[in-house]
Amino acid sequence: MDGKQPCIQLHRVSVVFSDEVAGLRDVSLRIERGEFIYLCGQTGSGKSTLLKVLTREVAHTSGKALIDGRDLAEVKPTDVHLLRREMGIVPQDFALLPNRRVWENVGYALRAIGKTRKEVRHRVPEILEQVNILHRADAYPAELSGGEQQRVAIGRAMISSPPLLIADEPTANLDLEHSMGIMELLRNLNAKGTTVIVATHDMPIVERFPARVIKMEFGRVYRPDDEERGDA
Amino acid sequence: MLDRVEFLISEAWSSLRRNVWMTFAAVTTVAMALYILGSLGFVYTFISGHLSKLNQDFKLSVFLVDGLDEEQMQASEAAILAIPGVTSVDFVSKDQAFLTFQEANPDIPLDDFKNDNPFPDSYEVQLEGIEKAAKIAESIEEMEVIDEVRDASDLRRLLVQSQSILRLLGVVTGGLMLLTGGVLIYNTIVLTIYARRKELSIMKLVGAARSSISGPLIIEGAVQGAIGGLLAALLLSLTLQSVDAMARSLNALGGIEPTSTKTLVLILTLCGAFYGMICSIWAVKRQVERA
Repeated sequence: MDGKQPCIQLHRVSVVFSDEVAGLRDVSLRIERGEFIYLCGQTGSGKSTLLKVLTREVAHTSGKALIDGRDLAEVKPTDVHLLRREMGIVPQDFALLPNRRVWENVGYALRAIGKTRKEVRHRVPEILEQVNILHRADAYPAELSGGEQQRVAIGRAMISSPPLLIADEPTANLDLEHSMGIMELLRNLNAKGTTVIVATHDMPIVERFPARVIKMEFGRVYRPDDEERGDA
Repeated sequence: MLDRVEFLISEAWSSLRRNVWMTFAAVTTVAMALYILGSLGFVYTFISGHLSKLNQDFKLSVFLVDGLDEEQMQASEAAILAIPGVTSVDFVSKDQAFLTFQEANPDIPLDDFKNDNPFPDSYEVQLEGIEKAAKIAESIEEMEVIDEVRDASDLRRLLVQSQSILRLLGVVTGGLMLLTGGVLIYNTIVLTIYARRKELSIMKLVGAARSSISGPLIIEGAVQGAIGGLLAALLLSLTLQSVDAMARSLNALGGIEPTSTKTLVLILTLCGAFYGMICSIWAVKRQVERA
């Protein structure tokens, strides 16, 4: 990774909810631009909290968190939406609108970030093509398989062509075949230069598509290899 | 820009359609609140106008005993004029009083009274203001040649009391209705936020600006308030026209000052829209972050 600029740097980041409850404890890590990262750990290990810190859904209580050199603590609440346009977020439950067709789901997100109808007409086919779901553009989410729904969710996350894609358990509700398809898609996006962070506890997938793994346990980063580097 | 406005309005419209009954409840309550406030406000203004007219144009009617000679008349007129606070004294003869009454009431047969005029001679005493009226009336009444002094202070007292009651009614009834309407608008917006929580969370995920998230909800509240205001204006306009027609047919208070429907619609619709907007901003501020 030498020679590349870091995309994400966390230095002793903690998220403390109360005296006894902490989401993250002294997490330090470094993710380079263009990397593919697995964030692994059991439920409650802090994966989701870490992702929420990156998306500014949760504010860290101590430490320093930087994305592209920008200190997240200094991002004003009124500017959080601008930060989120620099990243694509794929939630665990797909979060598709059931009463809108595939193209409308993507179009709605484009409209929400201020794109005109003309831009929507132009961009939606491109995005759906990118995630290989253009052939189902007129289908409703209920008519799609889990893998296809996940493709739509990934497509929606890519509407701003963000340099960073964060996917929370993208294969959690999918069978192996669909999981493989989604992972292929994420790897392709990564190959085109997008930094990808995948939170997962699906170890067979991790083994099948090897990449750097950041393991989390009890709100801390656990990975001997990463510790040797000075940070994760 | 137009494209943006179209997006915000279409989002607001889809929300309004989603909660039709809640919207109906909010709109009708705001309409009733603004109607009550508008009506009470109108009556209050009407009474205030009459009071101020009464204050500016306050006269005492001073009735003289029968059989006074010219010298006694002149002396009493001069004595009344000399009282501080009295600006003018006009003599009204009993014949003049009879004629005035006859002209004002042409339907009443007065032929039997032509030879036995029951009206006394009197003075119309103009005062500087209403404040000293009671004291001046007392001084005049003490004069031997005076039979009776009448003033409009009872009417004035009644009007002042009515004004206070109306003010209280306006604050309590209108205020409570307005508060209820506001809470209903708030609840409608909260329901909308709940019904649209998925859309809102998607908007947040993809980095939609706060204005894109809150805008449709605020427009929805403003539209509810505006429709409520419009209904109140139309209802109030109909009421005022009916009251005016009734007052004119009874020849009471000379009818009422007409207020154009356009003005009422403009004022109440704007007030409603502003109020609806405030209520929805309140709801959005409290709820959107949680959605």
